[in-house]
Amino acid sequence: MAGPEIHRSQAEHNKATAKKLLEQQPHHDWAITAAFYAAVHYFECWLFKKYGEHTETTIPINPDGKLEYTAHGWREQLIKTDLSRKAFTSFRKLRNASETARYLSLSRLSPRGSPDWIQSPASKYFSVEQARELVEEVLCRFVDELGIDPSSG
Amino acid sequence: MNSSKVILPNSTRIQSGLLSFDAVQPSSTLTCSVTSPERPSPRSSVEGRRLVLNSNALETLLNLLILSEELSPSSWEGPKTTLKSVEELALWTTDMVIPQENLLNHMLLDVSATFCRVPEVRAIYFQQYMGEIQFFVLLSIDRYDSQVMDRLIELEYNIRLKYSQTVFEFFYPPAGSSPDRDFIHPAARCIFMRNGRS
Repeated sequence: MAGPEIHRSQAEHNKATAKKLLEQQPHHDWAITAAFYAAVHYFECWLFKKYGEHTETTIPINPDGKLEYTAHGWREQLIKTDLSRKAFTSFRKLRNASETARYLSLSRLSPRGSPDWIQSPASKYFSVEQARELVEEVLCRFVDELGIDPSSG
Repeated sequence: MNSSKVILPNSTRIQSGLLSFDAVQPSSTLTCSVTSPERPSPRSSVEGRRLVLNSNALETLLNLLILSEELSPSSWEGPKTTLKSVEELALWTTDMVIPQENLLNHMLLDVSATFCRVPEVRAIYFQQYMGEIQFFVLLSIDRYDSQVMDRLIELEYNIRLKYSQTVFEFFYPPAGSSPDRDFIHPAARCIFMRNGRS
């Protein structure tokens, strides 16, 4: 587990990477994933500063001694509970776009059928403008809601 | 008439159609019937002593009738009752008391009734994983649509607020417009499918 300043540093590194990828077509689809993981690290920075905890260390344990929820699922529950509607919807938009950019049809879920729902790769499914909106607007909106003042990087 | 249908938790399927019920006697038992439409009804309306619902309102109301054993006829004010929109029904349900044992079924129906209003939603699957309730909302799009995602996530947020103690996961995979079988885990259960696909 990292401390809050490391999380913040990693968040800003990921955000800078996202901005670079936006300018390197057709790799702009990966900018979305970098932006999502910037959001994750910004949130972990915020959470640790507020509660001294990380998402993973607060997941409830069930009677069998196992984790009750996935880290992604629990993190979103924390965001919904502790932050604004705007923060939640911004984070969800980033996560959803990031998962679609990486998996497209969620083919990892299925042992059957044909994985050819979408006829184009993520770099064509997302336009550069849409990737830019996610990186430069949605991510910034989420960071604003956290009350974090990101560096210009 | 939209041929969408809601797939109920007990796997019973109800085909969309005109639904009418007697809303005149507040103290009487609420009865309803579903009939095949002779002509499309684009808007919900009051015809004599009966409410005639369009397909969206029908789907929502069917959900409510099925899920709510404690649905009280007195909830209806009488022959002047009108349903202007599905949203009115949704608001009306927020005051209902849901027994704990029916909570999961209520969630499933609520999610179906909520997301079926978005034309791009092609099908909805549900599965439980660890302690989470996971929904796979399949979209009939071939390109990313930021506005559609905004709308879906706003609806998702409302669901999460309503069932605030439940930990959800929502996924929105693009499924194109292929009529082929949905590509989803066999353990996932279909709770909504548009245009009668099966």
